[in-house]
Amino acid sequence: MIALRGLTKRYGSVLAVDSLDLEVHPGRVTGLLGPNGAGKSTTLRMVLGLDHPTAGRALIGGRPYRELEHPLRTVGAVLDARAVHPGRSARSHLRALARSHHIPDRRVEEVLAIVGLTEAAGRHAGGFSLGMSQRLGIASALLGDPELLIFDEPVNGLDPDGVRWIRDLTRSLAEEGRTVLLSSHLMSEMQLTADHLVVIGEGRLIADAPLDEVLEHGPGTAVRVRAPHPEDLVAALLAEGAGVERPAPGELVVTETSIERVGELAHRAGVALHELSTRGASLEQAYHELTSNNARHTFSNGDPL
Amino acid sequence: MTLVLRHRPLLGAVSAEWVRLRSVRSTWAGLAAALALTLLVAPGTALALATNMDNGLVPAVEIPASEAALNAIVWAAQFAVVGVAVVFVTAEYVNGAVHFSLQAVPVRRRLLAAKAIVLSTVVAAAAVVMTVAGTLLAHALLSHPLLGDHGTLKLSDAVPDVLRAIVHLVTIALIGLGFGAALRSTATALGAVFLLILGLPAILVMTGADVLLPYLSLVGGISLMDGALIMGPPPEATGSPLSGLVVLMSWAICALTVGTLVLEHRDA
Repeated sequence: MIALRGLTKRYGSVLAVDSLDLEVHPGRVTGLLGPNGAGKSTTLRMVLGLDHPTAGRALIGGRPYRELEHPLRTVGAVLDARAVHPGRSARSHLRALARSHHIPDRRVEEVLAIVGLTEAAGRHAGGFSLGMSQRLGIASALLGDPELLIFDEPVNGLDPDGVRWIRDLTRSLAEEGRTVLLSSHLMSEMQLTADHLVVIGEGRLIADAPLDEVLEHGPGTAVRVRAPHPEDLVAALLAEGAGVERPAPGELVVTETSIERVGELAHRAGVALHELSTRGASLEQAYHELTSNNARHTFSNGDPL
Repeated sequence: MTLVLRHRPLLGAVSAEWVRLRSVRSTWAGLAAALALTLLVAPGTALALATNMDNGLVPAVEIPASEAALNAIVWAAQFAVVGVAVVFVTAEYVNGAVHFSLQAVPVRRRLLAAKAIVLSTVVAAAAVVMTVAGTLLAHALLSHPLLGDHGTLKLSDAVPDVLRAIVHLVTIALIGLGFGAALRSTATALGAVFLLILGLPAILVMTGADVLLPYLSLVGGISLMDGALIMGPPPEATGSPLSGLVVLMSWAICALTVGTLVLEHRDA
């Protein structure tokens, strides 16, 4: 389990991470979500002991990363898959990591096979495509068969096959009972992969809740109507108890009814429609709701800040 | 048992660094360059000396061939060796490979210690090869009848000279390692090391601050080599071999200390 306690990182006058309190639990995929520059990578670097916190602590199983006895057997992490000496072969890169933990070379071949790099293992990492680099990064993370996996923006720049592969892999790792912490600025990807969401913006915790709960708190399913003269339709909808908003004169956002019912009412009221569509509950909307309010919602876990 | 367990992380780190050092071409290119420079400069030195003796420019004496190899190491090969040492650390920072290294060995002084152990061992072995090969080649030239047969090759001269070469190249490699860890950029670290080895002595000579010369690594190395054949300032400006050893080791300890402090305290 990862625990952040008042974790803070300041670069000069910029507060990159602002007293973050957080716990990441095993057996599920926790998505660390936030726009670029929100402090996701800085947070992960502090978790791994690469950057020194200005204040606060990042603990893994109750200890700072640097005090872990067998770090690679405890945490497997990929911050930047390209971070391999370009002139070193994939196999040598993995072997060096393996030797540091007295992990046999056999395991190197195993992880190469898991990520499908056996054929390319003798080639210089500098010649790898981004997808191959990501696979090599994942292989590095899996080497010590760790309980905790941390991937920073793992699907960045991957083709659809690569994205699907990473998604399936992270899901299966979590199903094996491992702790998976995944950062991304891609909300669609998070919606498909994560069980639990941690949203940060400008270094601060905005939300820490199960994915479903974040979606529920966001705007629900709504029907969008565009009509030049919607007055009669508005009256009919209000009479039925539906929620109606008019973001623009010729536009309605209708809630608490169905798209079919809106169509029928429009027909009955003789209102000409230019558009009738549903707007699904998406993480993207929930996220924008969260960040635009700039309020620090805290849902199920932890105290409100 | 406790002792064994306590030493395992360092052993693992050493084993990992050995893989890292040997798995990139630049290491072998650098060491090959050092050997090539020795094999070029050592016989060159011998040839120049023999010619000068034959022409009566210098008194004709018997010169241990191994000194020709030492001269080549001081004036040429050490620069290739220091390059290998600097790149061993700075390559970790070119594209952030140090992240993986530090994830595996998060105790940073242990990472640098492991690099120092591996580098010292490899450089010591290279120093033996360079000195032996340079000596044999210089001897073959010096002892040639056409060149006046000035050379001698005695184990009692050659063995201490091999040891001197080992100490010199290992300390200079550790200086390079420390500079690399402290400065992180290959260009900056190489520039700084070359400034220390060649730039500072030149500046001191030009500004008349010659008294400080024996405290620099270059002159320390020349003092350590302790040979009539080694180019350098007049004997009164150099110190004893022991003082040369102390100077070189002091620089190495300082560089490694600064490198360790930077590595420990700066974000990776």
